[in-house]
Amino acid sequence: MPFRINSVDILYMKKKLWSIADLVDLEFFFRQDDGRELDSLAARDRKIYTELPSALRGAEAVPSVLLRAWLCSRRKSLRKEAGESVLPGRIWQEVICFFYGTALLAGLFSGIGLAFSFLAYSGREPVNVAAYFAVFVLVQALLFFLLVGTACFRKIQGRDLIEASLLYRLLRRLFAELLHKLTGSMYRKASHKISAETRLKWSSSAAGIRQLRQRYGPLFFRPFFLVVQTFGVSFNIGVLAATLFKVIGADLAFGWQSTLQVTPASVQELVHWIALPWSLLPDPFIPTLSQIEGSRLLLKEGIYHLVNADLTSWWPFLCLSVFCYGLLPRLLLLLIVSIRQHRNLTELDFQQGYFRQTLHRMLTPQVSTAAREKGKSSVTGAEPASASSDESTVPELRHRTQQQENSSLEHSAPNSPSTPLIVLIPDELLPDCPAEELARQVSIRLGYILTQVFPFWTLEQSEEEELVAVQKAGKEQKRTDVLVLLEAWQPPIQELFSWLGLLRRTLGPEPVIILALIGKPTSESILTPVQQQDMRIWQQKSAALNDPGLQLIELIKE
Amino acid sequence: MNTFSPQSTVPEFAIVGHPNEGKSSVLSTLSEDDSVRVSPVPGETKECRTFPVIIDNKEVIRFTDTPGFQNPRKTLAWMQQYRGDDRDMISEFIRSHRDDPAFHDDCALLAPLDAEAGLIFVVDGSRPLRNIDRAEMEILRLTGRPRMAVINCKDEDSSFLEGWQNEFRKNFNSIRLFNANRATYGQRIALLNSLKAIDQDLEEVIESVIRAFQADWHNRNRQAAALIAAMLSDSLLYRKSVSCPPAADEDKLKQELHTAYTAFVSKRERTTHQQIRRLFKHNIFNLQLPDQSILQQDLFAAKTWQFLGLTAKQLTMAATVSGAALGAGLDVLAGGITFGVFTGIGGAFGAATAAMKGKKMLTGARLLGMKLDRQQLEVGPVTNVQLLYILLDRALLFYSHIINWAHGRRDYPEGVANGDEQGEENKRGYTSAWSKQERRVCERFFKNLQSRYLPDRDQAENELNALLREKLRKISEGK
Repeated sequence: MPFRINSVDILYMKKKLWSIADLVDLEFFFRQDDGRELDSLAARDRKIYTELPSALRGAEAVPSVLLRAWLCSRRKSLRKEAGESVLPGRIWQEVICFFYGTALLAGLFSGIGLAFSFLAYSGREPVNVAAYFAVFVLVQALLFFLLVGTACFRKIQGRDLIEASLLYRLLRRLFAELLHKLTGSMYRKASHKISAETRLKWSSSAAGIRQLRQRYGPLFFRPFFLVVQTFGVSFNIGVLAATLFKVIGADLAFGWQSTLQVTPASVQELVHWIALPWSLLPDPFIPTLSQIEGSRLLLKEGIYHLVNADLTSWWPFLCLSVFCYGLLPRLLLLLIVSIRQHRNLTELDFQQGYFRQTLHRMLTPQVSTAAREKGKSSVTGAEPASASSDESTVPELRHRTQQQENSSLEHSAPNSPSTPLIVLIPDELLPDCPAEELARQVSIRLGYILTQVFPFWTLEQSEEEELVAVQKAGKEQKRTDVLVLLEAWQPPIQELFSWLGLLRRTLGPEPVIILALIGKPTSESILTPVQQQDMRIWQQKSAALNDPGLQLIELIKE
Repeated sequence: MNTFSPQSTVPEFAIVGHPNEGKSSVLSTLSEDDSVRVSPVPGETKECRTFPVIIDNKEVIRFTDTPGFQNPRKTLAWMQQYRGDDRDMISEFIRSHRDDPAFHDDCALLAPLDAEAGLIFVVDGSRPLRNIDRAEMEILRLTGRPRMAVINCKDEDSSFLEGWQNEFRKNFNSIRLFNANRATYGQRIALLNSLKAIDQDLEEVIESVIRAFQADWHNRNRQAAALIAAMLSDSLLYRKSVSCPPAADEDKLKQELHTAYTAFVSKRERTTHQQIRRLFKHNIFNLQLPDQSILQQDLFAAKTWQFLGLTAKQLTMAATVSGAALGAGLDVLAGGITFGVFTGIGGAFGAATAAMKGKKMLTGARLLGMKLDRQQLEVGPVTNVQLLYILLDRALLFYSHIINWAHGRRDYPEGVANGDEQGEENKRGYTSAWSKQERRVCERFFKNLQSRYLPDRDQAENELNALLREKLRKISEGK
């Protein structure tokens, strides 16, 4: 599948800003690769890299550009295979656009509708200033200050502003924690009814969601926060528009009333404090004491004695209150969160083990040797390695870059510099593990150079001591990925997962941890192929782990 | 409380081990309970589940299925560091780990041992022994409970077996090879016998359990024999007649009669098979045999008659002895062996038989019990003794499959013997291998069925019942 790169593609690849749609597609393609044969993935990704223009490769190659190139290529090849298929990124984009549109319209119409219903005046009873203020200003201001308050509190705890949002927390609690609790209680109540396979599928899906949060932080949640702010902004615009429209086009009267013996002076004091943000503006925007006095309603006296000028003096104050305590905070939130989202999208950390698996495949040369029959073209490269048992055809050993994916070819170590790799082997397997064969497999299957081998689960040392030694060795070699050799026929148990968690905590988030599975030992070797049933179980179990930098492979391919 | 004191009520055994070693399969087979969840995915069992074996409304033994070890190294490390009273070790472990979700399974599996159950440690002998297994054995040793090791080989690979056996000798009072997918009744009893060896206190109570198992099995065989005999009686005595006025379509009526006849026999046979299936506590396994299988063939298909029942020679003898089945006897004497027997059945359709034997055979004669005169058409009772042998063979084959299908086995695939590509003399059923005396019992039963003298009939039925009981016993003992 040739991947033609045009200038638009190059511009796209060089873009620093990622969009959520791109990330959704990236996740989608990563998911597609889950469980696929490692050799074919390595060949495909390397091909994507080698077909890139030289300006994007080599020393200048940055993870973001490479991943964009990878994404671009995967999109094109999918389009080629499945026609104009709709990718999840586009669906995301359209759904979010729909949400924004809906929020905008819903906010506007609900604001207008609500304001109109409040501003109904037939000449008998003026609009109640306190009610208008409570509904359109006080509630919004309270919500805003609550958000700011919790944001400050959460900031102390090192959380994001989004996470301070009550709505976000409510939704999160509803969807995530409730789900977790539900599945937890269902586990307990119906564990004998639900099959282990179903349980595994559930937990791997739940882990997928948790990992998404771990990788991207609140990136995927912010758009929803912005949708809510859009609703807030348009709601306030609607309220303001409706109020102004009524003021201009209809006869309105505003008044205040109270059963308590509230003096106009104390009301004026309150108004003064509320109007502090626009106190520098001229008088008409803040009702004076006489206007406040003149707009007090005493129902037994009716409104006929009240002066029109006093009854209309409130609207500028109310409009500015909505603007200052409703519209402006929402606009500010919209702006701040948008800037933050933008900044995060340009500064995505692609050095996490999760992304590095793909980057490593792209950057690792696919070099192989193949026994080739004389007289056959070296371009085809499709002959099987075992082709020449016939004595009349003398096999010729030559090195060549693998141009086509061919898992039956006999590989040899790549002759280019590779990433160092530390291998961890269970103590009891270490004496039986053929070091050279292991190094060869690590090199040809994964493109790494085996630098050190450490035993784990020894009788002499504690787990922590063993892993500290691994951490020390990793630090000495700058960035080192780790391979853990495991027997696939042994069911993955909790003890192993706890240990993997400890390993991750010890090494930090960057190194890729490769779980290399081997099959049942034979009398000749312990490095044998894995049975597919075992592989499937390990895939499901490891997917349930909350570690995106974990990669599961079969070390030996038949 | 010691569960194993001679006076105590029910001995309890917890089936423990590493995940995915076949614990649930072993339990399912041992307790003859196919409701136990079994799956190739590890971690199927998350909670302990007790399976009492109840015979005659009396609980005789109790097996508890447990989750697999999830943290054997850590559990062992904790136990080795434990300095309290040994008797409180398990309860102390559970108390200190019960709030840790990572130790949920370990606590659950140790709980029955805390309640002083004996334990059956199940391992898959087709895989190598690892340190993790040694850790589990050590944990079980430290619990101090009476214990037995069961090697349940999930694959055919036996190269690791010796390693397991050597290790087990150090840690267990009793070791037994037990394939949960292949275990027969005899092997189940043998396993229970091995349980006696793990604790002297257990001997008496386990012995009584074995006796109860054997009595139950004997009783089931008795019931199965009675069910088969009743099915034979009903099928062979079936009779139905319809009036046949001169204007009626005679061929159509014959066809209808024959269809009703075959439907009755097939249904009666199916009912009996299902009763036998229930008798042996199979709720899931339901003899889904491959297409070519004898049992799945229609009872009246040529292939069934070719591969079951008696051989041609035996059939001639049977016909002569019983004085019945004239048609069949004639078939054989005429040399139409392979096809002739079948045409005896198909003869009801008229045309084929007419081609073979001529119209004389039909007139007033009974062929497969179908009688034709001017006013009446009648089918039954059957005149061909071969049907008895075929029904018997099918029932015995069904019984054999049912009792040999371990309750823990869940693969339900093809792979049961089929009746293809065999010569007529290669009968696949049981009856062709029976002795003359045994066949005579059948033939007497066949002859006396229609006897109006009831003592003769009863005696023939009793003889057949006794013969069947003996045959069922032999099949269940694998003889």
